[in-house]
Amino acid sequence: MSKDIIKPGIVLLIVTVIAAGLLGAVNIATKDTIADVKAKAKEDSMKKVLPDAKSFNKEQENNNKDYSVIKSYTEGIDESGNPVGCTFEVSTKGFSTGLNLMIGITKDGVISGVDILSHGETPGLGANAKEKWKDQPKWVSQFTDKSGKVNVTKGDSPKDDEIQAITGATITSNAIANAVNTASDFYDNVIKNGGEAKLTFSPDEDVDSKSSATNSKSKGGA
Amino acid sequence: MDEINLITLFLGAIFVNNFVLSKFLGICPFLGVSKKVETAVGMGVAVTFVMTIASAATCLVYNYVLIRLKLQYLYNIAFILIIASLVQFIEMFIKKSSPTLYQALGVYLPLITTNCAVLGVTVSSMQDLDAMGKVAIGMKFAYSLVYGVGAALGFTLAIVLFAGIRERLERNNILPAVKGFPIALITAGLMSISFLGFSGLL
Amino acid sequence: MNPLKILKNGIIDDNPTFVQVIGMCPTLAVTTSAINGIGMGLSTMVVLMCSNMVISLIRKFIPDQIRIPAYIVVIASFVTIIQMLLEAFLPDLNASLGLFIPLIVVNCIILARAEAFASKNGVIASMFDGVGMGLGFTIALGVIGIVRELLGNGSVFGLTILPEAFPNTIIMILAPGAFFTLAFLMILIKKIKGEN
Repeated sequence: MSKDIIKPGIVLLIVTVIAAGLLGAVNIATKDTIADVKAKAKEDSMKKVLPDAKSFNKEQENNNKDYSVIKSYTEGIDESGNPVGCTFEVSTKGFSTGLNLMIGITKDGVISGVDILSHGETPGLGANAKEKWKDQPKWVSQFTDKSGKVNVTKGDSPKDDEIQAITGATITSNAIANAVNTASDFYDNVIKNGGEAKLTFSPDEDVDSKSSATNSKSKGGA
Repeated sequence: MDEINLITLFLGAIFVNNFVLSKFLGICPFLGVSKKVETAVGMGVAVTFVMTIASAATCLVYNYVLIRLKLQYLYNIAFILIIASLVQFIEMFIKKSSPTLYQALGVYLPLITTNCAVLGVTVSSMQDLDAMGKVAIGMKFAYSLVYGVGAALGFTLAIVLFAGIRERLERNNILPAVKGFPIALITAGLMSISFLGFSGLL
Repeated sequence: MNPLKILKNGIIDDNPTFVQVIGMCPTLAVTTSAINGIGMGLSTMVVLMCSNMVISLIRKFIPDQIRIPAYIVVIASFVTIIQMLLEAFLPDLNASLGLFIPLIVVNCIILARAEAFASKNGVIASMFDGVGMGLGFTIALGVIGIVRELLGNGSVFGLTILPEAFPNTIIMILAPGAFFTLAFLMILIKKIKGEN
């Protein structure tokens, strides 16, 4: 009886040890490449959302609980080392968790770009945030050059402080707009005022524009 | 993260992000053992059982063993082995302690190892928590457990409803080319459309 | 057995998706576009080929009681290796296939081929079986992906084909579309086979 247990046990152990050894080797071989790919993707994204910056200072982790969706922020500088603005890495929840964004804001508080790093939104609906939108190269391009609080409208003619919601994906649209507003607010209150300020608006509040005629209370899928 | 988010997570896992009908996890048992309501209920109960324990166990192993040893890249092997041994262990345990339950669930238990919903829920709660950054260990455990139970109940709900529809389909006259899998898939598609309606819930 | 016959068996006679109806989860989940379907199919094929070869190689040393756990360890290792390689060299594909890469482990096709073929046949035959089944799976996923992308997004492999005026049927990219596409493809195949 005991022999029936020991032999299979040893064989299984050998198989597992070989497998683990092999994986360790592949892990060592690919670890640096993976880290490089990730770092490069992040830097490309930072340059994209804050085109004025020639280089970036060290990334700062965000510990302010009020702004918990902001994971980290990095200050961008020009050739002579003057600050031109900040990029924010935000991890929020759209229709599903893991909606990660890079948001760039210039030192004058103007949104210089929004980029989607990764997302789990529904293909064909929420995922369209990354796709071409009307005359814009991407849906998120609507945010560029806006400043202050941005609202989402379902109407066809957005005002200056409004962006159009993605068709059928109100939740995703609101989540991204909220993230951008949180980043703007963080820049104004925390970075410029030295770190202790509180959130000045409630991120849970509906950013649907109340003035829009076609706005309805119904929440579409995302 | 607080209690309210956990409730949202729970309801979301059952209805909005239903594992079978919107995330396509656990399709094999969903199509395979749904010819009768009775067997569907058995499968649902067995999956709920395994998924709950597996979620808790993998969360602990990941946080206390793999992260400590910096072996996160071994998560896939570790999780599948935990699930496989768990299924084996539960099978032995039920066999000894409750022969009636064993008779009811016995046939389904070995199938659960290759049910991707079980591995799926453990891997996705791990990835979600990794993406969230700093979360207290107690909260991580609660998240995994709630997600596991919610997903399992969602699976059970879908498979039982589906079996009810298929029982009725059996008695209908269906074109020979459509009979069997095609009509089952069309039924599942219609159920999936109706579950899309839940997306306004949260 | 001759290799060509094994290949044909995997691609046509015993096609894992349309004939055996196994490995449904990735089939339905990642086929929102043609490129995703084919990427998933090829990743699965590589894992299937490698695991079939290794399992066939070690089949004589593995005691019967522990064969399933041993197979699972072999399969899981290859999946993890593929995942690391994709992450390092094809990060975009890795991001869009997401959760379904680690889930190749529980793809019934792989364990089924290990049990039914690799544990009983030689290394070369097992390799051809892996390639054949893998190609059959890739073709099925590719076809489903093309149909869904064309109807749901008006494009194939990212190239817009249908004119702007043609409405995109978003439901085809959403979950229900996957069920419908597979159902209609199966009906079509049954019809073609029935008429022959």
